[in-house]
Amino acid sequence: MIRAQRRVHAIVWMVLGPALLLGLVWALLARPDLTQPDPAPVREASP
Amino acid sequence: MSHGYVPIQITLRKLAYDAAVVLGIVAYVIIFPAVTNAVLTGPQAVTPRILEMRTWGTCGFVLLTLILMIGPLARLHRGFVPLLWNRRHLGVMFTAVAVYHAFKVWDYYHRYGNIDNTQSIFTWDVAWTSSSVPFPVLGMLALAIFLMMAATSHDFWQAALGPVVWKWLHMGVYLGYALVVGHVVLGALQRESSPLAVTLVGGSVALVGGLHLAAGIGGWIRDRRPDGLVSHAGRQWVACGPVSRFEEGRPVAVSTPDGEVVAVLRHDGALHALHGVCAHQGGPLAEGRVIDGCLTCPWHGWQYQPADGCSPPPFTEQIANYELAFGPDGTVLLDPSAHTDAAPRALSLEALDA
Repeated sequence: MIRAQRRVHAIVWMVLGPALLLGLVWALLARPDLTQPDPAPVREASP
Repeated sequence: MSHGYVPIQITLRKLAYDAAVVLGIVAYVIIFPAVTNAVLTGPQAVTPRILEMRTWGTCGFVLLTLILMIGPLARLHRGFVPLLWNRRHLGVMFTAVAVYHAFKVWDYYHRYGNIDNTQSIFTWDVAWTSSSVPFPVLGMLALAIFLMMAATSHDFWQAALGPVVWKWLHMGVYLGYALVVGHVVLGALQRESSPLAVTLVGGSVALVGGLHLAAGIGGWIRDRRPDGLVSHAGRQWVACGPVSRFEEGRPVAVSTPDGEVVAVLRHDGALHALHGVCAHQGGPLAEGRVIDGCLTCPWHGWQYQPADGCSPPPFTEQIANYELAFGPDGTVLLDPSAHTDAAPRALSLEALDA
């Protein structure tokens, strides 16, 4: 039982580790340009 | 254990463990805001309420990282095993920290709208992040997993669910961790320019993932090299190595041809061999040590007498023991046949000297 569980632990991390690191890189590349000011909020004209 | 056994006992060791964790948390929630206020000044300054959320959020993330590091560290080096003994308390304290972080967010970001706070979390307008992912929901899902684990961490639930189901259920911590990483990366890191925050998250993933892989690969390599069989006195034995391999009170894992792990240990002038799997939760007895004359499981402290594999009276648990012998060259030999008759089987070291 211990061996089976430990193998599952290793297999889970073989997938999860790289997936999380790739996800981190992707999310950082996709984030907004923090050097630019936020765009002004758009307000709908009142009727 | 069964006979009058009290599953959760407060010992000095556990008190010291808990006290160290509480002191660590207190130190963190004092130091983190102080450093943040000293570093982030002027337009970068953070309001006290947001700083409080960040303090408890990062504290929880650090605790979760430490919790996930303990398992593989204990497998890579025996010196980390004591950290395993009270890991459940650490998990419950981490959950409390996470709940407090969630409460502060619930009570601030989701308080002033025209809908209920909780409903607000699940209908958050995510347009302000480029990821367009509802990261608060990821945090809430992770919190639900951690609450389930904290609620079932008591020995009552271990007994009710059985060791196998309980262990698989608590592997949900990996899903919880992935959700937390997503929660942080798609939330706070989208607006956080500090490289320290990116390093904290990336370092956590690399450390936790790397340690699990190293421990897993190490175990896999060991499993692929079962200890060799030799013929002696007309029987097949597993060669365990010279006596010098066995330190007093420190068991060594020996693999039998049928895949069983046996804990071979030296204690009180003799060698003993016990089945390497604890009767409680399947813990690795070969990674434990002898305490008060008994082989003690590293997971929850269940104990077995080295000679017969029985728990010390008045407890009634028992694991199999094995016969040992010396080969012609003094090699320690293990008969891979398990015995469950509770008869004492010890190999006196005097036999080697004779």
